[in-house]
Amino acid sequence: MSVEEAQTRPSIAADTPSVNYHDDQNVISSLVDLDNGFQFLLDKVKLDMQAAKDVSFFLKKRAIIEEEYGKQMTKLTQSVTESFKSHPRSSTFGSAWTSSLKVHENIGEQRIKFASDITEVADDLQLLVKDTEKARKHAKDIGSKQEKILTDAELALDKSKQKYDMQNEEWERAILMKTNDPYHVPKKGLFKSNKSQYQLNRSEEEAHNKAAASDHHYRQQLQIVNSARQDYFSTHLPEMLAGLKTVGDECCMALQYQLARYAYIYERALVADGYALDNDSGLGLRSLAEKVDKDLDLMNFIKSCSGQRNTGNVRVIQRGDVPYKEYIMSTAAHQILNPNPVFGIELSALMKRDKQEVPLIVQKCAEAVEKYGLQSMGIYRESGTGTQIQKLKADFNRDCKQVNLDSDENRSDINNVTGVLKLWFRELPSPLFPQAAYDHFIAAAKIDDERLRILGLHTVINDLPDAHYATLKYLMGHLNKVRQYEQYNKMGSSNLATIFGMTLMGDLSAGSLNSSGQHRLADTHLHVRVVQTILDHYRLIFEQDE
Amino acid sequence: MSSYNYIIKYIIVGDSGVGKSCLLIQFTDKRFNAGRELTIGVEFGTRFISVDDKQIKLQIWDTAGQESFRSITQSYYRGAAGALLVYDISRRESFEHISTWLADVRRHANPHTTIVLVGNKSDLDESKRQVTSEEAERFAKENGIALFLETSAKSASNVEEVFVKTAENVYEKIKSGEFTSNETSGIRLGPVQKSSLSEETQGGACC
Repeated sequence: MSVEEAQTRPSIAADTPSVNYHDDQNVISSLVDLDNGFQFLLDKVKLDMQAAKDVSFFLKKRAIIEEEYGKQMTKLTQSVTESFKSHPRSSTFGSAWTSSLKVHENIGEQRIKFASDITEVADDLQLLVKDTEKARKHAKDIGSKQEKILTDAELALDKSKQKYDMQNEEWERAILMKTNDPYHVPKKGLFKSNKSQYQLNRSEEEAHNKAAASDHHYRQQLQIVNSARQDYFSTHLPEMLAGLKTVGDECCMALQYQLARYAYIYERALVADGYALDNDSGLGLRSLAEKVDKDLDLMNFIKSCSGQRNTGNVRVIQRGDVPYKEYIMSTAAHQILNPNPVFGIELSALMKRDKQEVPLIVQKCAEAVEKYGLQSMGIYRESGTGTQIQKLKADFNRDCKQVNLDSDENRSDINNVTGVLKLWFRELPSPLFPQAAYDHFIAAAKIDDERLRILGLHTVINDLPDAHYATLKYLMGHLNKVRQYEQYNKMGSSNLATIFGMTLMGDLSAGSLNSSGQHRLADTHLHVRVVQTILDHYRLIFEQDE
Repeated sequence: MSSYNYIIKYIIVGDSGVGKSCLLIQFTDKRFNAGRELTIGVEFGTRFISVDDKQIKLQIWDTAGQESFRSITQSYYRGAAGALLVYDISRRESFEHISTWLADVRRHANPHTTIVLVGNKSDLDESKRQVTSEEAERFAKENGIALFLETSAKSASNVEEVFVKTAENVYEKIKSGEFTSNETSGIRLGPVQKSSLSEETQGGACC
């Protein structure tokens, strides 16, 4: 039934041919007029009952279909919801999908409810069938009872009629016998009338009386039957019919009511489904689908990923350049590979490299001598052990800073320290008194006048490169200290100058005996004189400027 | 097909002859038939009304006392969102029977059913009146009946009001979620789904 149709007025009673009290009477009287009308009505009620039964059967089956649908739907949505929960997604799709499943679950539940509503209708119809059957049987029993009363009366009437006929026949014969009418006396075989007239007269009288009595009884029975028939048709049958009709009416009306109720339930179920699919709260399937925002989901997914630590075995590709990671060698190996040599290096280069005017090796050795060797006899003249000196040289070359001259081993013979210092000076590529200034020193040394000689040396010294000047000043300062302990070490300026003259002005042992080498040998005493003059006038030469 | 948001079931009960069917016809067809015969069976009237911009389909069930049929009684009352108890203001007896009808409604219908007391035939001359509106008003109050109105199916006075006000009352209950149990209600509602679903949505949003 469409909604439009429903809007017009589907009135059950109004649409069927109008049934009212007067019509009721007409129906009943027409049934009374009809032969076997009661039986017809009984048959009709039986048909109505069967109709209710059929509808009930249909609705029961229909309810099973709906219930199965509802259950399967609910089961499906629940299992899908469960499995969806196990991999949760906080996304617009996730919530829309969960809501959609919920809608289906609701529809499933609504169907189950619909099924139980239909079942109720079916059950009510079954109850109706039962009630109708009972009422019909009751009406039928009453009918049978009434019929039996009628039949019994008719039987009695038949009997009395038979008796009446018989008695009259007897009387008729008696009359004929009495009048002795041979033509009319029925011949009865051997029966001969040997009765007297008196006897015959008496017989006739008796027969007459009997006939009269049977006539009376017959008339009585006739009266009974006829009045019973009248009662039946005018009272009992209409009553029975009315009662039976009520049963039938109730059955039909209730059936119609249940059909209308079913229609209402069905419509309501569809409305409920429709409402679940699309409603004002925006929770219909269509509106839910519209809520899915794939771009937002992607954004949120990325956001949630960035917050997560990579816990699994998934290989993560690192971004950025891979930095160079150097192998860290042991210090010893490192120093072997990267020596910081101090031997055989130009003073200027050394100063530049180590950012020190006075090379560390010079400072270290001088300090050690001043600490441990000032009173050592023949300091700087005595030579140490060759192997020890070579070892010290190697140590200094490896890492000058790490050399510990305070160690017991190095303290045991201070001459190893002076030995390595002298060796260092000798191995300088350009001696402390540089080649370029050599001639100036020699010239100055040759000056006999001490004052002029000092002045000359001073000038030459002042012209020395910075590294050479600083080292020379430091060394002379040191040797000046050593010679102050002359009384212990026996090393006066003359002795010290003899040793350092050769060492500082040019190495003879390593001497490449070239042309200049030749006259250097001759200049040896001048070398000593240079050093001795400087030593003797240390303050004058180095400190007067300050 | 016209669309509607809700379908609501009303029942009309009361003594025979108080004008139940006339009220129904006046409301659905806007006509009055004075000579109408007794109702036999069940009649259904349908009309759409609008409450709060929502289309509501009213399905009104009217019987001629067959409520007493065993196979009908329970289902007749069940699922009714509104119940109109009708008496005739010119027949005191019909008013006195209202308590019996009320008891029937209370026994068989949903506890949330909106019950309305209707005194019909208000068009009749005051001299014929046997029940004052004050008395009926008091009865309604004492028995927890939400609404009382005197109507005339003949003049159509208050007929529209009775049905619409009942619908408004029912709709309020729908909105407040009172009709949540779908056990016996004649209405299927959004709010039930809405609450459960919005919880779901919130739950999803916070994680």
